[in-house]
Amino acid sequence: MKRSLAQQITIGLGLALALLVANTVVSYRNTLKLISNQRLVTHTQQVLTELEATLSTLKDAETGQRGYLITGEERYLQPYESAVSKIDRQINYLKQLTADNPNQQQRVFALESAIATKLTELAQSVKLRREQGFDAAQQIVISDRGKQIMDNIRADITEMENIENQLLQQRTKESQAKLQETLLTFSIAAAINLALLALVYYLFRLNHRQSKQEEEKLRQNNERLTLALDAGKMGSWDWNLLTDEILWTIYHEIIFGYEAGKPNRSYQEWADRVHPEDLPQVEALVQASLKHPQDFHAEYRVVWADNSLHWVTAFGRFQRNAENRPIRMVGVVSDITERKQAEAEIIQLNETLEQRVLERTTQLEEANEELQAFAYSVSHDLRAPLRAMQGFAEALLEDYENILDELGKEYATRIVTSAQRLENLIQDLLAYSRLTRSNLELKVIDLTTIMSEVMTQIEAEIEQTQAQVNIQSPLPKVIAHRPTLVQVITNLLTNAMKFVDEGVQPEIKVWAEIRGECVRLWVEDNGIGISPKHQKRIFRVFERLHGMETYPGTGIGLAIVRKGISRMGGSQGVESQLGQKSRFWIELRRGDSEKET
Amino acid sequence: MQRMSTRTILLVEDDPNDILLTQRAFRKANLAHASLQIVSDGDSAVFYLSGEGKYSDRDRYPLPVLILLDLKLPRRSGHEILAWLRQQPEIKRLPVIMLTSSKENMDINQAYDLGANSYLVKPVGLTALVEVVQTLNLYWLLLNQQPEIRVF
Repeated sequence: MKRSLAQQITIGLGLALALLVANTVVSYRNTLKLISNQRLVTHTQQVLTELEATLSTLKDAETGQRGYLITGEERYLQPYESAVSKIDRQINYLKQLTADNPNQQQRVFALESAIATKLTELAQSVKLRREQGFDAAQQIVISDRGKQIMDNIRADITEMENIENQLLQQRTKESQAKLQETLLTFSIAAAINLALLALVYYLFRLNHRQSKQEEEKLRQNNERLTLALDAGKMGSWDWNLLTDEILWTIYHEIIFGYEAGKPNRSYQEWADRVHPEDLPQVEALVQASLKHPQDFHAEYRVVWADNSLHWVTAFGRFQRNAENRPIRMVGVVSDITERKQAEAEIIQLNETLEQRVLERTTQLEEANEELQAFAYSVSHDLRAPLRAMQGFAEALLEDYENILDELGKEYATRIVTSAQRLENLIQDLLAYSRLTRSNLELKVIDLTTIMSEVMTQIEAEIEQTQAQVNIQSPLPKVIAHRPTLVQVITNLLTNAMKFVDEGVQPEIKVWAEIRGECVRLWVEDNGIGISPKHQKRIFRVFERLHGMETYPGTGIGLAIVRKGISRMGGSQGVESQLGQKSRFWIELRRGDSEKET
Repeated sequence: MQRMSTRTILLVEDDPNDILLTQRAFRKANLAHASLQIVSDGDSAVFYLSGEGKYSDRDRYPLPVLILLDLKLPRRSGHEILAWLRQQPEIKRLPVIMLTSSKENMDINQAYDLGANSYLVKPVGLTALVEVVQTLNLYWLLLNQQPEIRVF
């Protein structure tokens, strides 16, 4: 498991501290040992010094004795006597010093007795000199006994000194070793400690750098969020449900019409600004979001202290803990007053548009009504004098036949035919205008029955022109308006009968073909034909290609065909050449298409 | 029961030409038992039928058995006269034939809705008019069973 940097630092510091303590303990103990060693060395040196001093004292005593033996003068005895008085103390001191070393102690005791023997020998020689004179004393000296004792003592002391020297050497060595050991362990421990501290320092620096980077990252994130929110003119809130603390950003305060700078806000401060009509609904939405895991979104009105109205949109989300209990709600809020105003304007524009459409429709309806009134007037008022003209002209011809000469009769006849022509024209115009105005209810109609209806209507003309009409029945079904279709086909057939050269018997063929979803009905004649350049014109109102004398007519027949077919959603056309037969066609939707059956 | 000899037809028509031509047609049709009474505006028609003013003289202005009614009339339209007539308890059953120049569906349907018995478009031409008068006579005066009209 990888430990965090902070843990590593703690561990490093702990290790360094433990090592420091251990080093201190070890060093302390080594130093104690060193001190005790040093004391032992000193001790040994004291023993050595004391041994030398004892030997020296003994020599002083011998020197004094020799002086007295030679001279007999009492003054030479003085060093001897002071030495004798000193030596006991020195022996005792040696005993004390060697108390820790039984071997040396033994030797001290031996030395003490040897010294005692020497002192006795010295005292005897001094006594002999004083009592028996120089020669007696000389005898003792010559006997060489004193020298032997002295040599023994010297040997003893030398031995003891050697032992002590050995000890000294050993202890010094030990001390030095200890010192070196202490120095070594201390140095190693210190070095390790230093290394550890360096490591800790490194880790610390690393940690510092990392936390600085994280801090920077955090700061950048925060800055980015703030920038984005500010750029979007969005406020944001953070509602801690556990402490009931609410934090607002500056924009949130601005949007709610508060003076910015007090980020801590209460629920009440929010509720105070929500439009009273909207508050229950918004609170219900918050509750809904609280109960179900769904985000909160509401658009509501905010009323500022100055009573101005502001629309806001708010999006929020509840944060939940491990037990799925909501603990916090965070969200953004933005001012959408302009959008709402634009929407309201659009709605208003739509309404005024509807109003305008309504006005236009009314105007159109009025125009249409005027047109209807006009048509009514034409059919009623204009035709009344016409009827009178024709009626009275006919009355003249009938009632005053005997009085009128031939010219008078012709004039009256011309009045009658002119009135008749005008009557036809008015009838056609009215038919055309009816086609334009009325609603045509389209139904499925069998062309065969339509054709027989047409044939009945033009019976008189067929009789009159001796026309041959050949219909290839059965014909298919189409979708059309029956009276209009009858009128259209009637017009086509009467045209076909009319526009033939004089003396030619009209021959008319009628057949149908199915073209996809449409039915095309053909009417072919053996007539005078139409030049291609005129083929478009003939479907217009009042377009006539011939003089009234050759082919009488109102010039509305084909216009009615075109208008009627277009009102039934179809199309029409003609194929012809001047001097050749013409083939007119109309096309309507099929009445029995596969789609419908 | 009225006497078979004279049956009155009331023509409500404002156009003097049409009146003249219709009178001629009646002459030409040579009707034996019918006489033509003419009023030329809506109010007069109502006065005639209700017997007001000079029309209270039923010897001179007998109650008609048939009314030929134009649509476009001064003061009161044909539709209005028809609507009024059908509201009168005594004479509401009088047969009314619209005789007008209008071919408009609206006019035709409204006339039937108000209780017209027939609707004819004024024919053009004298012969046609004579035929219409003859047919009227044959159907409405001779063949048709007259409803009971209470005379007051």
